[in-house]
Amino acid sequence: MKIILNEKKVVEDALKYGKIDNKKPTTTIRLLIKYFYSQGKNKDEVRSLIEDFMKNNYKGFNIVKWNKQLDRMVKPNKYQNYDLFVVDDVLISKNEIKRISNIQNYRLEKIAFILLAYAKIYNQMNKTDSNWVNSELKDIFSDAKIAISSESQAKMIYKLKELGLVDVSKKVDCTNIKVLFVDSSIKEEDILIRINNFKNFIYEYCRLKGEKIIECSECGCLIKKTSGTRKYCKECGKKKRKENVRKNVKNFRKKNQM
Amino acid sequence: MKKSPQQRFIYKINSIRFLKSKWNLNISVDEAIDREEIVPVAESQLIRFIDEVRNVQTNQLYHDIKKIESKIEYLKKQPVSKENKAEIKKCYKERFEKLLIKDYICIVMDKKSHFDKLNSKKGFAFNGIRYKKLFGTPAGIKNSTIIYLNEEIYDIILNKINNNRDLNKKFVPAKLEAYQSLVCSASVPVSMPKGVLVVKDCITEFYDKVIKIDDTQSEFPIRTIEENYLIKLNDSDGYGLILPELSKRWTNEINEEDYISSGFCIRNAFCKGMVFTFDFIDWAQKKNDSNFIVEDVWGNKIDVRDVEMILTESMLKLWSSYNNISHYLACCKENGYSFSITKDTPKILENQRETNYQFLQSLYLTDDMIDKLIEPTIKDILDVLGNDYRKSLLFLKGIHLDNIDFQSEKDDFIKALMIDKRMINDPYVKDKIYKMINKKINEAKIGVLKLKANYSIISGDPYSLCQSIFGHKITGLLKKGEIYSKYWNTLNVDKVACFRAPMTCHNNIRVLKVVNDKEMSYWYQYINTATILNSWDTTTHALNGADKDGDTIFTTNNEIILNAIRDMPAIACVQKNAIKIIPSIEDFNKADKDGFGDEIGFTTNNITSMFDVLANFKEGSKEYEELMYRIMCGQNYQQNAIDKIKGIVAKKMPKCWYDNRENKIEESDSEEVKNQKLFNQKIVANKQPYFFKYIYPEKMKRYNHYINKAKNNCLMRFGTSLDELINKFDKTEDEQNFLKWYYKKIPLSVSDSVMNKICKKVENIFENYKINNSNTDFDYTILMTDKQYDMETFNKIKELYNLYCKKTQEKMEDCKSNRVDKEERQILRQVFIEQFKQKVFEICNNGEKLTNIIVELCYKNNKSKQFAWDICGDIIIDNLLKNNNFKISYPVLDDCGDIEYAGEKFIMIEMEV
Repeated sequence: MKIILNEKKVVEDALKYGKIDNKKPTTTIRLLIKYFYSQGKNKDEVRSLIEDFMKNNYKGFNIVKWNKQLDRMVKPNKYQNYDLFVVDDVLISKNEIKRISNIQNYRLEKIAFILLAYAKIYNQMNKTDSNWVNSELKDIFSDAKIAISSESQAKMIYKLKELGLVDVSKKVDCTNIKVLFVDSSIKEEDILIRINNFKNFIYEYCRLKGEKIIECSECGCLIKKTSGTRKYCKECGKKKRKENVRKNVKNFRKKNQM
Repeated sequence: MKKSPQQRFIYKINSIRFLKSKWNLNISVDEAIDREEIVPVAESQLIRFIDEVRNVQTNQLYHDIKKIESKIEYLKKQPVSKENKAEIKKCYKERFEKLLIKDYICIVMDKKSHFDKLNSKKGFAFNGIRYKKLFGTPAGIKNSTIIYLNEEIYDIILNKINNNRDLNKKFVPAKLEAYQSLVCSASVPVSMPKGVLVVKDCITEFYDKVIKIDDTQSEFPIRTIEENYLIKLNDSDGYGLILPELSKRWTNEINEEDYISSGFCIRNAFCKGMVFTFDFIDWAQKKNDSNFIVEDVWGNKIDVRDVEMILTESMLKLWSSYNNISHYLACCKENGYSFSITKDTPKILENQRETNYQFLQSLYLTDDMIDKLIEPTIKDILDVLGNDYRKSLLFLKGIHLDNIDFQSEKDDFIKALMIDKRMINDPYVKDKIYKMINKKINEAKIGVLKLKANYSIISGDPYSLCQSIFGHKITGLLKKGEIYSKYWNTLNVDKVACFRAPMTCHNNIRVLKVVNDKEMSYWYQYINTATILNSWDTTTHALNGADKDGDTIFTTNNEIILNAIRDMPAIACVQKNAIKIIPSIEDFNKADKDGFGDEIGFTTNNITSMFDVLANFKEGSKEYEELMYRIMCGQNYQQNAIDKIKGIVAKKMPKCWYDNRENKIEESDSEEVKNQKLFNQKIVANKQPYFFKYIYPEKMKRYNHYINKAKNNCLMRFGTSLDELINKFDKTEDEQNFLKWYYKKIPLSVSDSVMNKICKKVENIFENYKINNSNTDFDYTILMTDKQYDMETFNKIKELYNLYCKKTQEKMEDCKSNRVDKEERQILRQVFIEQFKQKVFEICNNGEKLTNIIVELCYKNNKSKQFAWDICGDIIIDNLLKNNNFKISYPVLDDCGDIEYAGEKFIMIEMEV
């Protein structure tokens, strides 16, 4: 998932360890600006703090190239509020799952599930109940683990629209989607799924549909049980393998020394 | 010019860096190179002044540099050793330090307030040296760049620049600054002429039909057609004459060749312009009854037999600040000025040149005409798509390879392809050719089309100038509507179309008659590659105020172009004059600040957008006529933008012509205003044309993003593709509404203007062509020798290679998001490569060994191979030559040849080098 669900952690990591998103440094900068403003700093102070942060933590930082962009980014009117949000979990009700299951097309169902979760995340982020999803289609389909052309992606959304489950922005150059089957409030007893780990979260739905899904023994995220021995997700598996190699090499050296 | 000005290095720093360092910036050379803050600069009079003050013998310096470079070359052939590595490092350092000028820095102003701060009493320091503002050159000011000089030598240099001029004379500050900054022109000094004469300009008066644009009387410019408008033409604006003997001498000095150039663009103290080769002594003998005495601009009688060069008052800008020519020349000598040359006319003119969109956008071209016009360019590209190495050579080098000077050619992949045909499978070569084809295709989309044409420097009629100098009635040899061009005369062409950039409207194009007779052949005998304009028409007015101080025009006899031109009167804009004063430092500073920013480009782009809107209306309609009026006024606003740099306060183009926000109807608007605004909304040029997406990367990005989003939105809403929806017969109201907004919001104008049509036609042709860029087997060992290397050196070079790749990627990303000036990019790249060359040779001084390492590094994987060619391209070429017995082969024109390309036949010939 591309959306940052815990902005506070990003800011904490940035301030504590100088962590910065090297692929898109503006993401970190934007959150830091929000944080500094929330701390009562004025525009000049924020500008200076951001520049210092970049100087210390962004390799190859060149003020000549960044100057105008930083000036633009620290303008206070760029931000609606300075709150750093944290999305802990997303709740899916029995009724919502029923609406999804009624589609009777597994791929469409998966997309509907992802859209539902996204709508709920955006609702929390924007503190609204508008149920709009503002993400790119490619990100939505990537989370649904469906690899198809962008044309086919759009056609699938059209099908959901025809089923009355979503609506599409009337703005010509906008691909925002409104989810029309979100329950406005969910009682505790109606909760069917509680998503709190957003890595591979489509598997929550797959598990519900009877697919063999297990939790990674290391990080707890959901993974497909593709073989009897699979215990870890891709990333943890890689880490574990490296660890084992290191261990084996150490043992081998020890043995040889003896 | 063969003898081009030598290159030196200077610091070029953004003002923000001074602000951040509290106006006391200290940086090391390495840091400056890393941040692209050191740039090469060509030798100029200013640099020669600095050298003189610093007791540096300029020629000796270049001699020393050559010696160091030879030593580097020698060390590259020596075995790797600690001593050799240290020595090569020392050589590189020494070379750089000798070429770096610390007294002269350029500062790019990020904000106008930085300019004030840098020029305040407190000033600033850079690496412990205090600097003072010298001036800005006109091109520099446009880019907010100002030249600063070490305070220590400031007064001496400024005195030299001022060349004992009369400091009490009044000038327009911006103009005086431009005259002073002539010392920054890249130039090569030449020998002193034996006698110089300065004469009054040659002014002719005649009546002609013009379109007069006057924006001084009302909010919107008033356009009137004047049937008999009195034109006072300065036919000698910016040019003078030079005797054939001196011309020959100078040609020999700068080109090391024994012929007579048609003309030279010269510089001296406050002196700028062209001098064309013309035997004025012969003229006096034959046409003035051997009376050789003339009156110079100061009123002194001079014998022309005592002079070798005649300057006009428009060339010697500050002539009135001196008592006479001896006084001027003595001052020049005293201050160290000399005559120097910035460019000369070429020995021969090209046979083929490329158009640009400004030349094409206003032409009356039908679809058929466009097809024919783009055909030669398209054919050239299609011919090379087959991956035939012989055709690739023709594509890359042009069809005239007959007299190629292999040794002096750049050591690049094209040279490699001439040596070994297997190089066509080199992934680097393949990629280069693929990129060049793509570039050509994209260029064709923006109107870069091949034509039989050339660019030539323009001159006034020297016969008229001689008549003026010797007090005759001015008649000239050329009549109204005529030009003399030896090139076109030789080809028996009688009519050519003339264009000059920047262009605004159709009135800027002229079709002129190419003439010749016995008299002309005799008097213009030395002017072989310049175009002589007549003294009796408005050609220079039509060519957007061309003068003869080195301006070039594009001439073509292409039938399609000639048929697409309508005869239209020139536009004459009412001139505005700036006030002359004795400028103080504050006046100069104000002039600089007023000149910051490039409004010329902005105005030109607005006019291009208007051409796009124009295509939506029928000729003769109210909208069409209004747009034509606005386009014509564009020339006036372009002139105003140029005048702004000269310090003249002039009006800007009305916003309601290009910004629809200005046309928003308010409740308080009267009925008349409402109607006007509605009309303006219909013809507002607020979108740039579609083909601009191939010029501006950010426009391409925006347009593609919009189209992709709209395509997806269409599919998501209607389940049908955008193309299907556009072609759908029965559209629902919702669908119609979608399309209405789709066209309204589209970021670029997609109208059927000439340029958009050209762009779309080229797009359609190449839409389904796939360029073969797949990897084939290539044995890269042909680039290497059998010299062995050690892994320690290999790993050190690998580290540098990774750094190079990272930095190159950063630069590429920078270029993708910003339209970086091509020239500036090349300059910065040159420094970047130099820096890496130095670093790698410090690790391994032996070139052969190093090449083997680098080739192995670059060619073993799919990573960039550019590093290998940047660092050791010359050694790779040497290796290839050795492996191919020093033989090269290339295609030459031959009627019986087996290679067909661009409608001609070629055969391959072999040559030993």
